[in-house]
Amino acid sequence: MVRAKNPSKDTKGKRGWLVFGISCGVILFIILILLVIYLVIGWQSFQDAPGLVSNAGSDILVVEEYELDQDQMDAYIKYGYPEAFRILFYDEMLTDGSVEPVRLEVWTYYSQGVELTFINGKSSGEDLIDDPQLGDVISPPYYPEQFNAYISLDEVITAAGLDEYAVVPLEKEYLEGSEVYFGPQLSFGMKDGELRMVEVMGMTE
Amino acid sequence: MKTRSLLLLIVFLGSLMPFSSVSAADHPQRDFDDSLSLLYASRAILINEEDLSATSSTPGLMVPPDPSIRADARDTALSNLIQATKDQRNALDASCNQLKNIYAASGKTCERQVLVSYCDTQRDKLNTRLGYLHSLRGDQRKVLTRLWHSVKRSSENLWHAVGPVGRRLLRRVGPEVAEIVLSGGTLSGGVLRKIVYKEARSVGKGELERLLTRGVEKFLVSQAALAQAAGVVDCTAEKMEEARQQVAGDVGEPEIQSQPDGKTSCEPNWWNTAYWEQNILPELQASDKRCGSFGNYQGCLSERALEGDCPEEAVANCASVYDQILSTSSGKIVKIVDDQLQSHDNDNHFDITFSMNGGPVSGSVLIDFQTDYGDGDYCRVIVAKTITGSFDPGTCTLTGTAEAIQTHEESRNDICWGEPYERIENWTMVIRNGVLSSGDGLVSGGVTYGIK
Repeated sequence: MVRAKNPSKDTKGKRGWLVFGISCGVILFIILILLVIYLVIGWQSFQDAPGLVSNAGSDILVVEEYELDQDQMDAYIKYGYPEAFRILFYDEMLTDGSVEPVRLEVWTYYSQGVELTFINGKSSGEDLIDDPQLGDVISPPYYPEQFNAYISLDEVITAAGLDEYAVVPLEKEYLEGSEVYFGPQLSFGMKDGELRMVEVMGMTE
Repeated sequence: MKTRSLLLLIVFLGSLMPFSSVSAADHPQRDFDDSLSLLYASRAILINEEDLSATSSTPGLMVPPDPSIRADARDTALSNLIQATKDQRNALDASCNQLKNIYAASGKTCERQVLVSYCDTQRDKLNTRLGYLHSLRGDQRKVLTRLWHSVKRSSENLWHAVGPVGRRLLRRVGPEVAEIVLSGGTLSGGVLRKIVYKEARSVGKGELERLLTRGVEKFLVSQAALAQAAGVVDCTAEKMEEARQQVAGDVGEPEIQSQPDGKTSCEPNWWNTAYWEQNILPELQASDKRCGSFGNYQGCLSERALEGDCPEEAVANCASVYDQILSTSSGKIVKIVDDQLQSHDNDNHFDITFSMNGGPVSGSVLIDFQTDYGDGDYCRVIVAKTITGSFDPGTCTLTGTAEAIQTHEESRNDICWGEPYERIENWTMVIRNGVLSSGDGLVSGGVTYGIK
């Protein structure tokens, strides 16, 4: 005896498979989306986390050096290369409404007990300081004119000849868009991709 | 509906991508305080670490990150930034107090007003920053935040494992950074290096305070010039903002430049000696420039007046010459060394050191001469003086005592006149028109030295 096919049951079965397939597809899609979100967040976090960059390469071969003022050349002649120095780059409004870039430099000579301040290359102060008497001060492998205002990270890497450096992004609540970098005897700070601070540290052994 | 959800999802994913603001990059605001904050942050990372020698004895910079250590690292990073902000605030307070005293003493009202509002604004800014950072640290105690960070860290570690070669996460930021700073990644030869500002904290603190003070001083000078250019006498925050807007507006607003030559109008031939003596000189003598030489400044104003400048313009155009006048608030250390001092002969020695801001004076005099009387008879006289005293920037006067020791050396008895002695002598020197000079107190005939 031949049974007649139940068309409604057949349709139900097919629909059931279709629903199952779509559900699986949706779940798979959601998982995929979550995975992408997970990876994107992680990638962003990975890039924003403090890191060590080795074999640091730069596409820039030469960086223009800062031209020293006469006062600074006189200081070189009198005291030699500084044993430590700090440079801040920033802007100030002039009386004609234009903006003037300011290069505030402090050169320290621990062994001679002198600290010199220059604003845009002009001498603006000489302070006597105490020798910390920690031992022989090591001459740093950098000099102030290597660092120009507002240069990019690549330019700093070339200018300072860095092969390896550590980068520490700062919380945006501290200073948005900023990171501090560390190299041998050196730290520098970038904000919005521009060099804003350099410190060459005095070191003894 | 589905399409809209998909679009929203794409927008959400897009928002996770790290885009930078184009307008911010085009016209970044480059404040002094931001640059300084970077310096404080970099120091805080290194200075708050334990003994760095422990770092050198702990190899393994490249060990994969342990999630719990990474969590601690964030805590430490926040603590460092909190400390950096506190240090910056303390230095600001110290510099502000020092400068307030200096400007009050020198009668520079405008600079003092700008200073007060600047210090208040910066302190508020740093306090707000501290509040945010504290709340961030507290925020990590919440369950959802901890969960969020845990998810982020696990994905971060995944990228660390498969991510690009050449970039590795730092496990414990401070010690690893110290390793790079001290030795470039590898400590060689077992020689332990030390960072001066970390080992001698007071030296490091002083360095940052002086840097901050110099930056604020520079800011005050430019603000005073701005106020002068805008004709503002009252330099409160509101008036200074008006001055800034006015000066900024002057550049672009043609109606301000209604004079044919773009200059403001004034009495022709306004410049004369009486104008100098009544309007400029008293102000200079009452200011921290009182010990300096005014000749170049007077010459500059005169030249500018001949060029057609009105008084305000002439003053603004001669600001750089004004800045060069010797100032008692410059913090400049004056050190004079003269090894050709004229006293009987011309190879004697005189040196003196003092701060233009006032305070102790130190120095020495060494006079060594020989008189020959023929037939081999001679008398050699050596006078050594150790100078101590103080400089009063209010009167431009240096006063003190000198411990004087005179000895003789003679070919035979009674060739030299007088007796050797040891005594305390009073001395006075004065700075007038940028020249340091003494009477007979220190050296017979006196000494005179120009101070640049």
